[in-house]
Amino acid sequence: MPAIRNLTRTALVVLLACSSVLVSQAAYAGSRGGAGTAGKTEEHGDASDDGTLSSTVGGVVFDRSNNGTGNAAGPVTSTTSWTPPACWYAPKYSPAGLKSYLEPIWQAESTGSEWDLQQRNKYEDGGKDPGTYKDFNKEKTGKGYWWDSYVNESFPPGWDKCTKPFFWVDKGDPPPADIENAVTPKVLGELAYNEIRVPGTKVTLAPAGTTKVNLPTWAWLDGAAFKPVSVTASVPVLGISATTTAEPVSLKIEPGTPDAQVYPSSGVCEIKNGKIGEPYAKGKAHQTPPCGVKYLRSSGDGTYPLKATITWKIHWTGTGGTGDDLPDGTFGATQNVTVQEIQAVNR
Amino acid sequence: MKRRTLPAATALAATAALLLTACGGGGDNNKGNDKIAGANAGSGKSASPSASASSATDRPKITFPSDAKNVFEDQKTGDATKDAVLADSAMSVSSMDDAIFKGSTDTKALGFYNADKGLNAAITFVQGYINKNYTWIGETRYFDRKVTLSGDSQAYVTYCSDESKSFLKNKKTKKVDNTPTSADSYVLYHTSLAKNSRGVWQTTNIVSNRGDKACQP
Repeated sequence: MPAIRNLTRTALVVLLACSSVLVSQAAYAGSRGGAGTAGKTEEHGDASDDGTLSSTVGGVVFDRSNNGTGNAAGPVTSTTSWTPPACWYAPKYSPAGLKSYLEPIWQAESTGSEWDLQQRNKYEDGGKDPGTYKDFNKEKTGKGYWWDSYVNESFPPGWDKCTKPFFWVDKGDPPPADIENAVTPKVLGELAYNEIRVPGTKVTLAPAGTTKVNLPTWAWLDGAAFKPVSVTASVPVLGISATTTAEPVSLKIEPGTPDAQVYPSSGVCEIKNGKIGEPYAKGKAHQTPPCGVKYLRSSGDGTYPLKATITWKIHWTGTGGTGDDLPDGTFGATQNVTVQEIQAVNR
Repeated sequence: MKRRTLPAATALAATAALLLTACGGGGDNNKGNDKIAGANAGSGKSASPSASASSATDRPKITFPSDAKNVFEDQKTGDATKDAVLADSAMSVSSMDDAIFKGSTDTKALGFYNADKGLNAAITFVQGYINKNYTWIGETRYFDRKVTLSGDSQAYVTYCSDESKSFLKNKKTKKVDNTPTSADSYVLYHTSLAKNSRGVWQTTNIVSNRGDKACQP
């Protein structure tokens, strides 16, 4: 029997491995992924062969190809108390898919016979009373889907609050209005908000790296890096989608010390003719920068942590000419600035 | 179901697994097989989960086969409620394994430690093993276990699992899958728990991400 032979060999190899401390054990180590994972997120699309994927129709798909890129890119934080949905409802099962998901659960005695019966009456043996169904709505196969919950994989507070039971929605119909975060173009736009990644906020300074006390330092954003970014969220089986777009609108500079003055005095540089701040050019040394900072004290042996935060204006547009604004989002980063005493003024 | 005497292949596989454990353990003198290394086996530094759990008396008994073991780290937080939550969270994990070992989703423990979506997920997970004639051997380690309380009767537990020393085994052919360790040997779990009328913290929702960055060694 080859299996036994293999195992014998494995055991021998292991014995050898043990006798030689230097042999890596990685080659003989394990994983149980092949049998599935408890609570696996179906949205993920992993090639898992536990049958979950094949029976699901797969909720929301994100196109992130127009996002900001690079290691420093990151998500925006809403400027209001609003946050994108932590969980939502979207199509998950066909009638046959829901049947193959639920029947083994009802058959398990661990669920209790009363609950099993109640469930059967609702999804399998119903049809007359509202909110009950015959044979998992088999007759409507292809004309709609069973919807179920999905979870934001960064698990914000509230990820577990989508606890409504499976519900059926005919294709082309909006989901029940009383179910919060059942996907519509608006909800898709909100979900896409969560997937937005904007470029890291590295501000160009002149002079670069090291500046001088009392010298107006110009600050601006590289126009090429700070363009609008967008994410599209869609539900392919429903043919609905929404694209959420974020555009940079202003830059806030916090010098990292009270001994400094910012330009403009509000500290917020607004976008002007598509640009935030103005690149320094020779001959402008005696002008006041439209956007910048003036340090009044040397940073000594250290540096000042200059924080630059960009505000992004965000809106969505979706299927059927829908669309609206979403709360502004911010993303910031800190860069170190060295400020030296003036040794000589040569301009 | 009666357990038959271990055939040669199983014994060999078990030996291999134990040897692996011994190898990986380096100098620790955790003599894996001289006590039933089951659901209650901690990492040796603290009491078993059931001992510190809340006072429900009729807890279903979970006994693991001698060739499989769960190790739960982070059992003591200094807060009795949090410790009880962690203990019952560990029992939820072990109740799924217990059902896998028994080859049945009808066990008392599954419904005792899991409810609602958590129970659905548990049954579906166990059923996946049953459908493919799978069981597992070796040691599964649960680490970075963190608990957050939300009011008196709700809690969240996140944890990582390390399956680098556990192996799938086909119950029919007795063949042990020798899957190389990879990022997918580590899984991140997010669970929510609710305290029921018997004082048991049941896992009511479980979502996982195999290969998650947060759990890599």
